[in-house]
Amino acid sequence: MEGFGSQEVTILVASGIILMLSMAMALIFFYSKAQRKLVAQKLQAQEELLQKTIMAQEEERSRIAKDLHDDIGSKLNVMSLYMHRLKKGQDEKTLAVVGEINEILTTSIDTTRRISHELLPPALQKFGLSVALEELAEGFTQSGQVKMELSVEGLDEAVEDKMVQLNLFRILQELSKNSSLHGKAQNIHIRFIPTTQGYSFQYKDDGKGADKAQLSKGKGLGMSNIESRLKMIGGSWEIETSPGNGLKALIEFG
Amino acid sequence: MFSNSYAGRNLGIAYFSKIMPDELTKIIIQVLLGLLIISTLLGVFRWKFLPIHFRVIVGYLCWNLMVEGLVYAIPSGTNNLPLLHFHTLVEFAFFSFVYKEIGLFRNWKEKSFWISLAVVSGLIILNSVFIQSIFEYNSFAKTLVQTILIGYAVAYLFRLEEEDQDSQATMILNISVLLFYSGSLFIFMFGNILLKNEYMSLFWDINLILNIVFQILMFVAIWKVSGLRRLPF
Repeated sequence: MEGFGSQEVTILVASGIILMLSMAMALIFFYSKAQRKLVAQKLQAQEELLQKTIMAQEEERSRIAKDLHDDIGSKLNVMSLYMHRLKKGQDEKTLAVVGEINEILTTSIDTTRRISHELLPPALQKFGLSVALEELAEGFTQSGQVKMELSVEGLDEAVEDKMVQLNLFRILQELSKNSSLHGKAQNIHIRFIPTTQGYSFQYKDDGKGADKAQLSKGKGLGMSNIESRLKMIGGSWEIETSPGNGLKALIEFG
Repeated sequence: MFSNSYAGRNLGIAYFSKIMPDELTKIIIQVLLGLLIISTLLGVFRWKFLPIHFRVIVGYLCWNLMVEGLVYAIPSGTNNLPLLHFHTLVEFAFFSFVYKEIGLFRNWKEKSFWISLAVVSGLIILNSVFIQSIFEYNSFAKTLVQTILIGYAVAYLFRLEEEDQDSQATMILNISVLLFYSGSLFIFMFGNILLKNEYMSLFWDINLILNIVFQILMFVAIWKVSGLRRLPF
């Protein structure tokens, strides 16, 4: 080092500082980039897993609905028929017992049908989304908990894909359940609107609403389910809600 | 050899010169001292919330504060470079323990870590005893230690840990080590030669600025892990 003049040392040290700092910053930059990529990959994997779970869920629902309807439902119906046959030529006591059994059977048949329809509405597969939604609305209204009004003209012509129909049905079903159970809404309005860029559903309830910020923070399984289903059909949504002011949602897709 | 360099202004490296630096440098030193005190106090008060490697860091900050105190206690004009020799050894030990707790040596046998620590510590001591006088910069030892610390920081970067609060704080700590020791490596490597250099004060000012960055990042890391409310940035 004695051979080095002051200038050479200055240049050497300055270059060394710049070089080392540049290398350090480059490493930090590439690390950040790699970390972001890793996080995105993990999120993507989580999303795919959630979507696979939803698909598996639907398959299972379909299987259980079918078993309930075709197996248990039909057997209950047969039992009911036999009970009716049993009524002939019986004394009063026996008739009373048979009557009670019939009542229980009727309730069981109705419950089985309701559960089966909730799991997979046959109307959705046979008649399309608008009929399935009408059935859903009827179910809620008949229960006395909440009145649901629909405006879905042109829906079946606009949405033909069965997977999209099923996912939209589940989204609206989930929203309705939340409005009824948690929001304590008395009225729900669902409106289908074709737009120039695609389609949208306007959903509105008159429930107790919620804190939007808290809703985004503490997303439950239902909300995550809705968001995953929307991603599956290439849709998106915006929610407007505040305590005491119900909930409005705009679901866009297509 | 009397240290008349501005090298003494480097906080945490206690070879303070008592020749009064210019006003701006004085302010920077005050800021650095303030940051060091705040980080240390934060670490001490939130001790129970800190993971072990951050407790070691707080220990290192306490050591730094102690050294700064010693520097001011030493009469003006006295060569205080022996403190630097000792500080280098302690600095190496502290950061080795930090990275051991982070898990950098998880694939090593326990014995290998202790042997390596002993070997490097031995070299540092040998340098101070036989090679470079304790009254001059221990540029050889400092270069060795800083290179090792840079190596620790780079090795940690390649681990790509999960994104969680503790790891974020550890990453900030790691970045602070990487930036500071990378930037100051050549300054310490040529410490003795720079004493005669016309740009000596400029280089030590660069080291001061790197030290500020180091202290700020250290503070942010300790804050993040201490369980206090999130910083706005």
